[in-house]
Amino acid sequence: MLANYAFIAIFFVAAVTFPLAPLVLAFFLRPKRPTPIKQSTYECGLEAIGDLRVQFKVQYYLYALAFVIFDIEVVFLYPWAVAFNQLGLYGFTAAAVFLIILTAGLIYEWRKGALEWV
Amino acid sequence: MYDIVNGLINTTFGWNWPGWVIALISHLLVTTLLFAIAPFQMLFLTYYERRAIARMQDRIGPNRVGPAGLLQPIADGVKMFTKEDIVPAAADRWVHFLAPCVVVAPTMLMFAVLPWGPGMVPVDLNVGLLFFFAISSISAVGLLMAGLASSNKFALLGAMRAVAQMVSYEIPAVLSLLAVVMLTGTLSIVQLIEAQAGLFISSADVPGVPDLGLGWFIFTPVGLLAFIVFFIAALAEGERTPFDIPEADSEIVAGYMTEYSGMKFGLFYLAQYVLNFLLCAIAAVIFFGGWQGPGVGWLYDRAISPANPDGNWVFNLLAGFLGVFYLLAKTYAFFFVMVWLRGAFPRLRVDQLMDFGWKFLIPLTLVNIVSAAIWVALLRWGPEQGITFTQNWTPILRWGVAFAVTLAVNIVAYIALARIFAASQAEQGRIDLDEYRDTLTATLR
Repeated sequence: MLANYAFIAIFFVAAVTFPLAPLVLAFFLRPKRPTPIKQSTYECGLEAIGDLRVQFKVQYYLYALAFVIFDIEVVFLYPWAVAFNQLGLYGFTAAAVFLIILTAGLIYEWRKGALEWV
Repeated sequence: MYDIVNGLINTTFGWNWPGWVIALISHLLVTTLLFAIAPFQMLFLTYYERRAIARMQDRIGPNRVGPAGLLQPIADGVKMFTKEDIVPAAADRWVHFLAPCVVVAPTMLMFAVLPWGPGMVPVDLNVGLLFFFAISSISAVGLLMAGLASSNKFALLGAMRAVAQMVSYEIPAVLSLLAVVMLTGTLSIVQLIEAQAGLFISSADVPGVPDLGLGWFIFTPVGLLAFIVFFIAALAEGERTPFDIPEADSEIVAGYMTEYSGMKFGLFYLAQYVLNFLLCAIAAVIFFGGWQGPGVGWLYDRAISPANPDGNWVFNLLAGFLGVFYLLAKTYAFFFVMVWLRGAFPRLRVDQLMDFGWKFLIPLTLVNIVSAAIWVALLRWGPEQGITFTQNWTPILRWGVAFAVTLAVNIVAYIALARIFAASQAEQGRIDLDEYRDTLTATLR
């Protein structure tokens, strides 16, 4: 089991080096002639106005919150799914209650309009 | 790979090297091989997509560089290498540089648990499926880095859309796989494939079914619904049309890639195609049996494996070739569907995309989990789990009843949820129209 993760470590090192290699190679091959116009922020022929760090649409954060709730649900459900063959009716009922509470949460979110893109 | 290297060195040559040396050699070999294959896979996929989409649009596509344009991706690669790397003056140079690396590295790491053929898995983790999807979501961080570091509003919009889309569609993807995990009770991808032996009925469900390597999960109602949801979610995760909103050219230039050029842009492109390949491959592995197919099981029974150490390694090679052929055939078939969808469908709107994920796919997967529970209860459970009425049924009868019940549940759930979703969308459409009419009358006054 530990050997498996040693291999994941080898793979991880290779995966991190993998994108760096072409970047280093390209560094020696490519021309370097920066000009102020080239380095200006891309905009449709105009100069970019204002700062990037502005207030952003709140909808993205609501989705992120809902995502966190459901992702934790998934983390709880995976061990249950693996052991499901042996659990029997009691295990099924317990998880069903858990699922019903979450579904109620989803319905509440839906009715409340937290999932609307406004 | 361990078995083949071990067979070559210790059995054939008789050098008797210790196990850990062989493990190290085989692991390094596998890593090198996979990291050499991946870029070529990506180059071929870009070429294939351009040719196929050209055919669908009544064009010819790239056909000048090399025979039938086959060297076009190489030419593109050379261009990427020799292009000037333009970093905007306002950008955060380090984060701008690191973002493509953070996107590519986890994508490559996902190869670590993907089985290619019988006995040909880089590493058989007991939590392989979880590892695969946990790693895949890291690239969302890289996309957000790219958007924030570019200091460009198009890039930020694209990155926000990309992250919102990836997190929203990760839930249906993972929940749909949960149903399959319940059917087998394992997270190891290798065991998930082995559970798909049989002929339309999995050998694990009904003993005595002939093993032709065709007991795929797609033939069960639970697996079918899970596959549909998973494939749609995979399209969104891989940012394929109709879900290519993060890089909608007509709205936000190129999304988070707007300020990237040269090899950094090439790395984003590489990550995207490798991710598409991996998602197609994992769909093939989990729902279509991966390397399972007629003949592979027969060949692998005669090969060296933990169960059969006296086998012949020639059979390892034969089973491996056939297994890899089946896997790649299925993977490319899915990739063709992805290209086909790109040729057939226009892009969705952001709100349509989010609504579809949250209000249709997630409830559908929740019903599918219940369906999977019914399947397991009817097929596997006995008196000790609290189910007594199936005790005297024959396995094939239990399978038939489970099939009928889960099919009925899934069809009813699909129709009901589709109606609810359609009604809610129609309601939204009406409200929008009313508002529009009011503003219009107000302006006219």
